[in-house]
Amino acid sequence: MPHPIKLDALRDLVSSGAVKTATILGEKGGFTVHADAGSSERVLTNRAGQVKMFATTDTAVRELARAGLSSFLVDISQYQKGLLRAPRTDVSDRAKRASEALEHERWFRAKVDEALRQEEQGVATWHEHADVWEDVKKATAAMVAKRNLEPVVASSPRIAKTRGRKKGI
Amino acid sequence: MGLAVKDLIRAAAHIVSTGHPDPDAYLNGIRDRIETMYAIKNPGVIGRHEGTVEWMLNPPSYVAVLKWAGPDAKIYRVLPTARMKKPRPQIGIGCVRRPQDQRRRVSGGAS
Repeated sequence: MPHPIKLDALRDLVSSGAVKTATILGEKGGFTVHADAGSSERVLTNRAGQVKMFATTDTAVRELARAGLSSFLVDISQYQKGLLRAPRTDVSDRAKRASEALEHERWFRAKVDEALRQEEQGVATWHEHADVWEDVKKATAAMVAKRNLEPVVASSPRIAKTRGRKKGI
Repeated sequence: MGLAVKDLIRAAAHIVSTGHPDPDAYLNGIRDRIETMYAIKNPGVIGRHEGTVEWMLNPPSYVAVLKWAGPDAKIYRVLPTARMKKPRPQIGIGCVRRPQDQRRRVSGGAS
């Protein structure tokens, strides 16, 4: 097991010239950074002293750049695809809700824009309150009548029989 | 026909499509709220567009976008506060199946 090293210490070693290169080593689910400090090898750790795992090589490269290293090797011989952390479903749900809210906002604004534009162009039509509700009532009655005319779909025993795999046949 | 009238008819179509037992009562909820607004001369809240006012029509979750012109209100739109999704079709005779339902299920096992 190589000796651990924190980012600040690695930066000092790089600036003093003790570390000239590093290896990004693929492991199960991510990558670790190993600095070549002469005869010894040091593994990059976080502030808590745990080996720092990177989900992608990009983040590992960014960390090396922060340490001042511009030369490194990538070893993916031991790399196994996987997730470093459990997926954050709460974050994705929040993002989804925010996206839906934004989409609704755009849709809402577009609808109001359309009405305002019609008024500007003088093509909007205005109706008395009572007339509007008369029209809505008529349209609703027609829709309800149409709905009531549609046949009620009852579950057919013939279809129910054929569903699923029969055992013993 | 004005866009707000079309919106109201669309709202009626939506509520009818959900199988609501009394769509008229639902729409009367919207009507009552609009009439309350007229009665109390409530200016509503400042709308998203300049010069417009928005008036919530709860419990049916709609919002009316309007402009006050003296004692009268010009209602431009009556829009749902959230996008309405079409109710899922029932699976049965005469219903169009969604694409994912058309996938053939193949069960394993020896014959």
